[in-house]
Amino acid sequence: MSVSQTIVGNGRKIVSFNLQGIDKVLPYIAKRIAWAAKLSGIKTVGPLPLPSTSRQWTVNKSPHTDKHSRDQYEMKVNKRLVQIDAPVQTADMFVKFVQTKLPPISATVDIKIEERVYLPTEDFYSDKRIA
Amino acid sequence: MKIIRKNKKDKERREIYKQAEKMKNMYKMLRRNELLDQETRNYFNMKVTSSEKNSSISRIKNRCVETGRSRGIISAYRISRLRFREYMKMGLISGVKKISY
Repeated sequence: MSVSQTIVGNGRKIVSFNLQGIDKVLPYIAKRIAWAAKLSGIKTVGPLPLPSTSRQWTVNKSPHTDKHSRDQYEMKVNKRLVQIDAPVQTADMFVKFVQTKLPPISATVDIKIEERVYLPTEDFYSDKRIA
Repeated sequence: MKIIRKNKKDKERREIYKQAEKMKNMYKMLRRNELLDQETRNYFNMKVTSSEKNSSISRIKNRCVETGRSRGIISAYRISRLRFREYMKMGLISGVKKISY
């Protein structure tokens, strides 16, 4: 007889919201997403601060010569991570909510959403398997 | 925005380089391939040395898109350092600020 695996339940989904921002509004947006998830009863981690990356430029102030006189400029990118663990349907609804209904995410904040789906299966030697 | 002649020339050179890049790199590899006989290698060497001079990557120059200045270019924004400072002080470049350390 052939052995087949059976999907149990609908599975779960882990969704990561990776936020990057260049100004002070980022922590509030990340906190808002985390609060929305927690108030919905979804298992939530975060907002987690991740290491910030910065980019620097050093340019001469003067148009002509005066090499020692310079300006330093920097763009610092801060990051936050919010992760939720929920059944697939609930996770999908929450992602759609974040993308459409949540108060507007600032133009200076970038959000990337990563999803991992876990569909559990019966054990190979389980006596409940279907032939 | 006015068209800057040097920027236009640079754009033309980039087009030429883009077309010629692959074949020229192949010739460069072949001319130093020691498995080939010397006559064939000389042929490929001639192919490389006689190619269009604007197809060389060293003819490409980053220039300020506004002023055409060729030195002190902030390549992330494609403008020269002078314009960069002006815009930064006007607050037009998002997220960039002056630091002191």
